[in-house]
Amino acid sequence: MSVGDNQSMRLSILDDFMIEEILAAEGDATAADGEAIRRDVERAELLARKSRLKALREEIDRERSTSRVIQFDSERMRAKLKAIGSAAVSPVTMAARSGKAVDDDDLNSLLEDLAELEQDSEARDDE
Amino acid sequence: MIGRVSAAETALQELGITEPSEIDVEVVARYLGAKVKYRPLKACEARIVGHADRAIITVDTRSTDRRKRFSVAHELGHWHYHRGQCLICRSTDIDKPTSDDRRERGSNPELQADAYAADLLLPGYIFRPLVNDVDRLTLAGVRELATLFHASVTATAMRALGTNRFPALLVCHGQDGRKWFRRPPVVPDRWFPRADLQPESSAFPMLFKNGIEPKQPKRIKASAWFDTYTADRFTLLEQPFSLPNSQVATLLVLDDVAMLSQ
Repeated sequence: MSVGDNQSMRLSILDDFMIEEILAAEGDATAADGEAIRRDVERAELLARKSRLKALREEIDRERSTSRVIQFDSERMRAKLKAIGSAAVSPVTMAARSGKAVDDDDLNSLLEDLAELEQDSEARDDE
Repeated sequence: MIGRVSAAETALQELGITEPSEIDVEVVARYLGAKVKYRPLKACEARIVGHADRAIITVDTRSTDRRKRFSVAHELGHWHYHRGQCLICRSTDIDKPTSDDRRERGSNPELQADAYAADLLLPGYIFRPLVNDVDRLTLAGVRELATLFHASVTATAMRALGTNRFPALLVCHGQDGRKWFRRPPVVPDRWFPRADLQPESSAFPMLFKNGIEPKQPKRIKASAWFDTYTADRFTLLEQPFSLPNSQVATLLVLDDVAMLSQ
């Protein structure tokens, strides 16, 4: 092997080494870019979720500022409530915390809530 | 340790909630299909009426703000676990102790709803990182956290013990004896609290003589709280605080590491 061949081989090894170094550095850069993109996506997702939180708060405040009167047939709702109580399977959920004997005012407001849910459901069906 | 994400925590995360101050239970309710209303209620503190995937939660206007928040969270627990069911949760069911003082949430809808409420008001993914910075559990520290989360001191203390980072117990007494206690796994089972309060405990005058809450924890012989035969070798720190219904809860901090050897 000549001196020139040796030099050529040394240069070739050096070249390979540099290429590996460059590729490794590019690999790091790609990973870093990927991490930055992932963080940006997560941040954007979080901001979108927080804006949903804010929008719901605004929706609630808006609703509270306008009064809504629920007109309903008290007897029909009373019959519906009775049917719910005796049904084995019902789409209605009902629970009360620290419940005692039923009070008339509470019962009336319960019937009103049931009527409101029914009216909202019908409104959604019409849309 | 990364904990399992509960249903309540999932809802909070879906709304981008990352701070205690962002936990708006009315908004979470709305997100889950429930409106929240406030009106005077005579027969109950709160109720939920739902039809299909929509519900109305009504909370008694006379409750405190903290109580209202808990009630909404509790009713959302029913909305999650008991949809399509008709339940009435009576106050007699709430603190009903089982034979070994453990609250079995598996079959009790009231406790299931309470657990959901605890996850909603004190979500682990926000609570744990804050507690990780705390070296020793104190009532003052628990109170700070409770204020931050707008939750009760009792619920916050239970949550902190639930992290299993603190060698401490929470024991509740009424005038007729121990009502319940919470002991994390880090505390060996032999430290089983006495059924009756001992006169040397600072909880005793609070319960029986209308005494005031001590501002600082007091060092006391462990035998005042445990009748295990080795208890007289150790001391611990106790600090009681008042609960509703004439009950007293006491935070017991086992700061002698020898008490923790299994």
